[in-house]
Amino acid sequence: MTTTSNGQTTQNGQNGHRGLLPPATRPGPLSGKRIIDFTWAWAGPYGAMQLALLGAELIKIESATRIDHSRQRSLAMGSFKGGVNQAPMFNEVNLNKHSIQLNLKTEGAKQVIRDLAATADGAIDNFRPGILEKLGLGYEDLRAVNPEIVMVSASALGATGPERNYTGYAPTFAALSGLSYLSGEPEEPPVMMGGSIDLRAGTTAAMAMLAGFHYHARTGRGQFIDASSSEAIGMHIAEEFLHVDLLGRDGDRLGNGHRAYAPHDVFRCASMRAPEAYSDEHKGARSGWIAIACRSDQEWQALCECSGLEHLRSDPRFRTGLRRWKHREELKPMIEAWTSEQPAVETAETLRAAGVPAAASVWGSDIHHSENFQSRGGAVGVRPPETHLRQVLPPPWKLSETPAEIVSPAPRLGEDTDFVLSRMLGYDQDKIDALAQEGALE
Amino acid sequence: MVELAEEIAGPFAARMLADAGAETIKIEPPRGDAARRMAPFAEPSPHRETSTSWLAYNTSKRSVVLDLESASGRRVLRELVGLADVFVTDRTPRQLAELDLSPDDLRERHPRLIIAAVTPFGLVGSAAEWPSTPLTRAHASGSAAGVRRNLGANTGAPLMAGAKVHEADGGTALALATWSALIARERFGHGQIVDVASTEAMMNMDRVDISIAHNDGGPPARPPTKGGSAFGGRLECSDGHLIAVTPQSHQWAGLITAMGDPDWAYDSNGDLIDRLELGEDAADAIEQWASAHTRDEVFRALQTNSAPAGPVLRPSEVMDSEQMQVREFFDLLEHPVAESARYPQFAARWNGARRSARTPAPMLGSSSADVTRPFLAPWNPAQARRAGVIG
Repeated sequence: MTTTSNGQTTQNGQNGHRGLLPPATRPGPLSGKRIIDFTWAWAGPYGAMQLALLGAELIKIESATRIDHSRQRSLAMGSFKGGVNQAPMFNEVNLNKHSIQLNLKTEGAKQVIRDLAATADGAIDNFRPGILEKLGLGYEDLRAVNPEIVMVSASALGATGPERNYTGYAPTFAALSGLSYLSGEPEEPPVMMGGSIDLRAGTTAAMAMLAGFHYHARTGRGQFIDASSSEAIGMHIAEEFLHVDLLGRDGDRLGNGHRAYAPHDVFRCASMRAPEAYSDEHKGARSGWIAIACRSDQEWQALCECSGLEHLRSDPRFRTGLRRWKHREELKPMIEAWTSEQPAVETAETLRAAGVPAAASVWGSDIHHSENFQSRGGAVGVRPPETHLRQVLPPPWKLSETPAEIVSPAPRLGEDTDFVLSRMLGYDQDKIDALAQEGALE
Repeated sequence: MVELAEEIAGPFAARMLADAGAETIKIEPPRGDAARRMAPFAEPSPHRETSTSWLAYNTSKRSVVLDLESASGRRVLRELVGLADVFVTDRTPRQLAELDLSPDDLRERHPRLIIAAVTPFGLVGSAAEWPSTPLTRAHASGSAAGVRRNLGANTGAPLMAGAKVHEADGGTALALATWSALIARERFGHGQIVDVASTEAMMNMDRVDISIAHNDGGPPARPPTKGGSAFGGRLECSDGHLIAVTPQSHQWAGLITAMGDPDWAYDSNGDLIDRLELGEDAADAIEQWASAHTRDEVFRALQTNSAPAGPVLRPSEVMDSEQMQVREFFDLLEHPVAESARYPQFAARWNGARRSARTPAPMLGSSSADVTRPFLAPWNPAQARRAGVIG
């Protein structure tokens, strides 16, 4: 595939440092702001990428002595076979960034960070609390060279409290916040959540940085923002904590179900799409599921009407919402007997046209190919230099006057080291050579 | 800030800005935000002031009831929006047009206004008016498929995550973009339209795996492992479940140390064997070890040895944890009808402190008269209430 869904393609230089990233056509909310990005894995990098998509200049601090493991492997999938510049995981959460290679254990690298901090508006990290301080690069150190710097430090459980030194990843944030306990089918164990949890934590960290910038714009003051990834997930399930205090017990796992509505579930279909939609090039799923929710008698009757389940309308077990809910286990196979002979996408269309909330349960290429996704501009093509053209999702928000632009794929490891040192910081070649000699640029 | 939004996504976004100090006027229809009717309630019977979903996402706001079926009600709303810095809404393009609040028109009439919209499928696009619910949105976005896939199984029904986390994604995306628009306004002087499709917000949370599925033909074949991860997973302890994740070699070594350095983990040279080479036998041994201990014992043993882990806590256990208490993650709010309860704050401490000067969710229409008085002429609030314009 050589064209992208919306005609945009982004490519960076093939050799040496690539200089400034291609400028966006219009300034973003954070244009002109420089942020030191110490983050790694998924959560921190995604948060920092949000800031880059808003126009900030992100300088990601990396080292071959401590490679961001999303360049090498994923928690769920295991090791990635390609090289450190080819990992799809890394590309997805590091678009629009510069990469400088620095071994922070060396004195020279520390001075580079201090010089960067003097020119930066923000810094973001997701280290275990205390790691940067131990390196002499904590908030107090950066503040000493730049009192106005806004620093967001996002850790597993926060920088204070008895568990501040504990480490974690997405699945543990979900476990420690209460979300895992609430996720899963009612009669089954709680589920282990994955990468989406990291991106939620990253979104929260990015929001904290924006709040810090907003405060700085009004007061001229920098600050240290101590963000907890487990709290970030807790913040997303606020009503469950009120449930505890006001009802005196914890909430339940509901799976795809609902406390009051039925049908409210996913049902197996014959296929994702009708047979004529498939061709040899089709990349989407063959099997399909459809989600259907009825919140009222009206929606239920509309469902019966267009599903050929006309006979259920008069069935006393299903006449009212409460009865349908009580008999939902009997109802499910009856609906599935119908859906299992239908294609998911087209059936969902029919149901929606009749006013019934319904959707095919999609993933991967079926998302990219969907008409609604395409009609909003679709994906953006990026071509990381050592791999193939990739279609990536645009950011989860559209700003009419300061639109995000994906101007670059994720950087190669250390791709911008020379550029950052010589052009951003004005180091001469002798100084750069001395840093290399010291091992600071590894 | 003026909010015309119901249920979770829009109110959550507005709440984050309101808790941060934005004066927020929430416009409700006479029967109230639909969240007021969402179970469960603090009391055995439904009460419009005590739904947990209502209480959780509407702190620091004032409530104004307007009958938007009436021309006068719509006029008052337009006046309020015209004076606002931010208009948060979850209404679809058609509904906004009916209120004479089309984003493009508002943009023209009020150049400094930020129109912050979170709708299921966006303000533009072929699906803008599709009927949907949280269930169908979670599935239409790929978010539910993502939960299932993370379990290590590519078959089986796609599954929503718990609580209302998918809906909350639309809220955080909107809050983030609205903060950005406020910063842009201070710098450039103009407002803008913020268009968040909540399904795209959910989709972005799984952007890494969706990309791999689309661009690389799905994840590479991997060894079957228990619990859904090549590097750990869900373990059953004597009192519940725990998640351990050890992708880095020093973390794997920490897990082995926590278990008391069993022989099977080492090769003949005394070096640790790579986890992936050990396969299911190692998984069985780890499970057996975990099952003989409590969650807390395994949690502390692993974390002491730098192995990332977390017990699967019930929400009540989260609230009781010393960590959350020391960090003051919850603040206690009194409410005139519901009892006092602990509310989670924004997930950050600012220069070492929480910012927690917030008020509980407002009673329905409690600020109707105060807020609308200047816009009711020739009526006074009592007359407007009798006429059904305000409530």
